[in-house]
Amino acid sequence: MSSEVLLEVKDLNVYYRVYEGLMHVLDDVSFSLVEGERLGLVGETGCGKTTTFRALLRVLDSNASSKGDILYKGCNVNKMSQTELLNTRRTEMSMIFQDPTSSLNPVFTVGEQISSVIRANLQAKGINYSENDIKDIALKALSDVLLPDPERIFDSYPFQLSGGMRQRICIAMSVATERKLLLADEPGTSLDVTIQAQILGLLNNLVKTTGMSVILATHSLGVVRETTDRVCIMYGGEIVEIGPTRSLFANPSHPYTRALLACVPKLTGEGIAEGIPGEMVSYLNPPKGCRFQPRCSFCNEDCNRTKPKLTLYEDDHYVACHKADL
Amino acid sequence: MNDKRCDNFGSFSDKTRRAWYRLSKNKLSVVGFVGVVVIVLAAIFAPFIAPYPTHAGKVVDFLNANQPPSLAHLCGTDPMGRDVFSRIIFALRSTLLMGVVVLSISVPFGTTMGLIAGYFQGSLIDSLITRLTDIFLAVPPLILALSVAALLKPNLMNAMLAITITWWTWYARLAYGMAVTLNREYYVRSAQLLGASWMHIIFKEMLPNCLSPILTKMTLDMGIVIMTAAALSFVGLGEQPPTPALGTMISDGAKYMPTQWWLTVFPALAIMIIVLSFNLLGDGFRDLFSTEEKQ
Amino acid sequence: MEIFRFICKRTLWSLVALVGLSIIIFTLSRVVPGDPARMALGPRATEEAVEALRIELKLDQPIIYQYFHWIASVLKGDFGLSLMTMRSVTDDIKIYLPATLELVIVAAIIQCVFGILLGVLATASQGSYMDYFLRIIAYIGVVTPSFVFAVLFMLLFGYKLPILPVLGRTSVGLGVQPITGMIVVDSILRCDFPVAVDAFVHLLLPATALAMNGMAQLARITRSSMIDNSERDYIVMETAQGLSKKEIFFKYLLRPSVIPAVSVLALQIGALFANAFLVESIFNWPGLSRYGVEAMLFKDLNAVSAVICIVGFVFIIANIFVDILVAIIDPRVRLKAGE
Repeated sequence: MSSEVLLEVKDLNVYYRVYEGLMHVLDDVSFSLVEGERLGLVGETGCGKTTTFRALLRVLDSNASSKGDILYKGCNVNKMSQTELLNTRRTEMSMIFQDPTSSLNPVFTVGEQISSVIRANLQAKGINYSENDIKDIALKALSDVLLPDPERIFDSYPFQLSGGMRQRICIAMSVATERKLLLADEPGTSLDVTIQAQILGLLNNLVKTTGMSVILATHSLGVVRETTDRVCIMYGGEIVEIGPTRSLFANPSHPYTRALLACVPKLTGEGIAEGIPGEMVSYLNPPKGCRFQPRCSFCNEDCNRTKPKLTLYEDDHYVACHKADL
Repeated sequence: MNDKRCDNFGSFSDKTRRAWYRLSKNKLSVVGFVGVVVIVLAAIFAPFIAPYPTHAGKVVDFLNANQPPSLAHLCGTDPMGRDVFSRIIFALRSTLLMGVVVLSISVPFGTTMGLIAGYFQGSLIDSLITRLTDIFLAVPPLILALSVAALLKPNLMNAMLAITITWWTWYARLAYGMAVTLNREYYVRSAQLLGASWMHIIFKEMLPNCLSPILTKMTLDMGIVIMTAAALSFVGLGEQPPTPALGTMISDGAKYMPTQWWLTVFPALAIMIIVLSFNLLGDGFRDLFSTEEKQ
Repeated sequence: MEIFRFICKRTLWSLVALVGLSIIIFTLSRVVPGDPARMALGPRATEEAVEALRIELKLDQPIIYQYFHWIASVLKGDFGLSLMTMRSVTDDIKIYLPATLELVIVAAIIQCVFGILLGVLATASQGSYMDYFLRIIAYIGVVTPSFVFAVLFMLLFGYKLPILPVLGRTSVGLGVQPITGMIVVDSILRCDFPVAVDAFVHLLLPATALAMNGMAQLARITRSSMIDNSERDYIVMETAQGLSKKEIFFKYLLRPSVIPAVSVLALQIGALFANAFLVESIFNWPGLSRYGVEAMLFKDLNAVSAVICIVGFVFIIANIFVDILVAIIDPRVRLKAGE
C-alpha cells in the first residue's frame, strides 16, 4: 500500500439554514485517507454521513454552507474554480447515493444517463470518442456489476427495474470510468438483506480489482469489519473515534462505540440488545460540551462543559472522550 | 428539539397560534391578508366609506358627467355623473357575496360527494358520482356557467346558482382523490374493523385529514370565482343596473374608450387587487400547510 | 398498446359525459320560463305566427320527444334553425368555428412557448431581480381576467400607442377565398402573403390577451416544479457525477419539470375557449364564441346547444392531444398506463 495522502479533511463544518434557525450539522470533522485505503464511516441515521459525502463533492443543498478545508491531492475542493470542480467530479471522485429509487432520473433511459456520465469523463480527459465507444463502455460497466442482459437494461427506464438493479446501475455509473476515490453512501441499505450482501460483495470485488480508495458509509458494523482498513465512528456530526479496524474492534474506547457494538443482535440467542437510550442530538441547539453526553452513562461535569478533542489512544487509534480510559 | 415536540403535540389553540406566526413571517401573505380585510371592511361599511353613497343607485347628475379623476372624484365620473369610486366600493358587496355564497354551497357539497364516492370506491355510487362530475367537467366551467346563467333570468341569484353548479365538481375531484388514498390508511381500516359507520368514518376520520388542502383551494378559488363572476356580469348576466357590478362597469366603460379611460381602468384595477389579495393569502396558506406536512 | 386503450377509454367516457351534458342543458332550456318562439319573432308578432313557429320547432311536444328528435338530427349533422340569425345553425358554425380555432390555436402556442420560456428564465435567474420581475408579471397575469386584458390592451395598443390593429380579422377590403376558414392558413395556401401578414397582425392582440392567463400560470408551474426538482436526488447525483450545468438544466431538469405544465394544458385550452367568449366580443372577432354569447343572451337554444356540443367536442380532442403529449414526454405514463 502506498502511503501518499489522497484526501485530507480539516475542520469541516456544515451548517443548514432552516426555518427554525441555523443547524450546525458537521462540527470540526477531520480525517485523512491514503491512496488505496478503505475507510468505513459508521453512525446511526442522521449523524452526518451523507452530509460529509456531499460536502466532499460540493453538492450540498442550496440552504447549506460548508467551511473548512477539503484537500484532495493537495487542492482545496471548497476553493476550486468551477472547471477544476467539474474535472474533479468527472475524473477523480464519484459517489454512490443511498437511495437507488430516487437517484436515477425517472424520465430518461438508463443508457442515456450512464452515457452522459461517461461522455463527461472522456471529455474531461480529452479523449476522442464516438457514440459507439460510449455505449461499449456503458455496456461493459453494466455487465461488470453483474446485471443480466445489459443491452435491454441500457434501453430501459428506471421505473421498469427493481431496486436491486437500480442500485447496481448507480454503482455502474460511478465505476464505469476509472476514478481514484469512491464515496459509497450506505449502498443497498434500502434493499433487502440478501441483495444488500450481493451489492456489498460486488463493491468489494470492484474495489479490489481496480485498487481505488473507498469511503464506505454504513450503519452495519459487520460490513465494516469485513471490508475496511480503518473505521471512523460518527455521532451527531462529530467524529468520536477513528482507528484501524482491527484495533477499534478489539479496543472500542468511546462509550458510543461500545454501545453501538453492544447493539448488534447476536445470532446465538442471547436476546435483543437494549439499544442506546435517549435520542439524537438537536443540531439547532447542540450541547456545549460533548455531543453524546446527554445519552452517556459515564458523563460528568467536565463532559458538560468542554468538548473533548480527538486524542491518541493507541497506535493510530484516536478517540474524543474525556473518559476514554474507563 | 424538546420545544418542537411540545409544539407538535400541542393543543389546537397552540397550533393555530403557531400557524398564524408562520403566516405572519411571509410578507406577501400578510399583504394578502391585509388586502382581504380591507376589502371585506370596505364592502361591509360601503355607505360610510363611499364619498357619494347615493351614486350606487339610479342617480343622474349631468353637470358632473364624464369628469376625469380629481380629488372630488378619485376615479372620475361616468356619463350619468356618478362617482366611479363610490360605485366600485358598492360593487365589492355583490362581488364578495358571490364568492362567499358559491363556495359555501359548492365546497361542502362537492367535498361530501367526493368523500362518499372515494370511500365506496368501485361501487355503483362511486361510478354514479364520478360520471356526474364528468358531465359537469365536459365543457370549460365558464362556458357552462354562462349558458346556465343565460338560460335563467339574468340576476345575481341566478349567476350564483350557475357558478355553484359548475364549481362543486372540483372539490368532488379533490376529495375523491384524497379519500381513495385515505382508504388505505390503517386508522381508517381499523375504524372499519371496529364497526364504525360509514358516516362516522367519512366525517370524523377522513374529513379532518382533507381540510387543509380544501381550505387552501378555497382561498385560491375565491379569486377565480370572483373572476368568473366578473366575466358573467361583463356580458350582463349578474347584478342588474343600476346596482353596480365590476364586470358591467368595465363593459359599459369600454364603449367610451379611449377618452374616458377611467371608466374601465379603475374597475379593472379593482378586480385585479381583489383577486391578487385572495391569491397571496391562499399561497401563504399553501406554503404553510406544505411545510407542516414536511415536518 | 396500453396507452391507446387508455386514451380510447377516456374518450368514450368523455363522449358519454357530453351526451349527459346535452340532456341537462336541453332540460334546463325547456323548463325555464320564457317562450323561445315569442322571443324569436318579437313582441309584435301575432299569436298565430308564434304558435306556428312553436309547432315547427316541435316546442309543443313532450320534452323527451324533443330531445330524441334533436339528438337524432345532431347525429346527422343538423343542429336545427337558429332563431337569432334565422339560418341553419350548422351553416353558422361552419362560418364561425374556424375563426375561433385560429384564435385559440395561436393563443395556445403563445402561452405554451412564452409561459414555459419565462418559467425557465425565472428559474435560471432564481433570486435575482429578473426573477422577482418575472414573478410579479406572472402574478399579475394570473389575477387579471382575460377580458380585462383585452380591454386594457385595446386601450393601450389600439388607441394610446396605435401600433396594432384592434378590430376584426383583416383590414377592410382584404380577404381570401376560404379553404379551411382560417385566414392565415388559407392565404398561405393560396400564396397571398400580404393578406397572411395582415391577418396575422390582426390576430396578435386578441390572441395575446387570451393567452396572458395561461402563460402566467404555466410560467409559475414551470418555475416551481423546476425549483422543486432541482433538489431531487437524481439532480444532485448528476451534479456529483460532473455533468455540466447546461446539460443538467436543459436536459435532466427541464424534461421532468415540464410534465406538470403540460398536464394542465388541456384545462387551459378549455379556458381559452371559455375566455374567447368575452375576448371575441371585445375585439369584434367573428368567431364561434361571440356567436355563442349572442345566442345565449338571445336564448337561441339550438345555437347554444350546438356551441356547447362543439366546444365539448373540441375539449375532448384537446384532452386526447395533451394525453399523447404527456405520454411522449413521460415514459412512466407511456409504458405504465394500463396498470
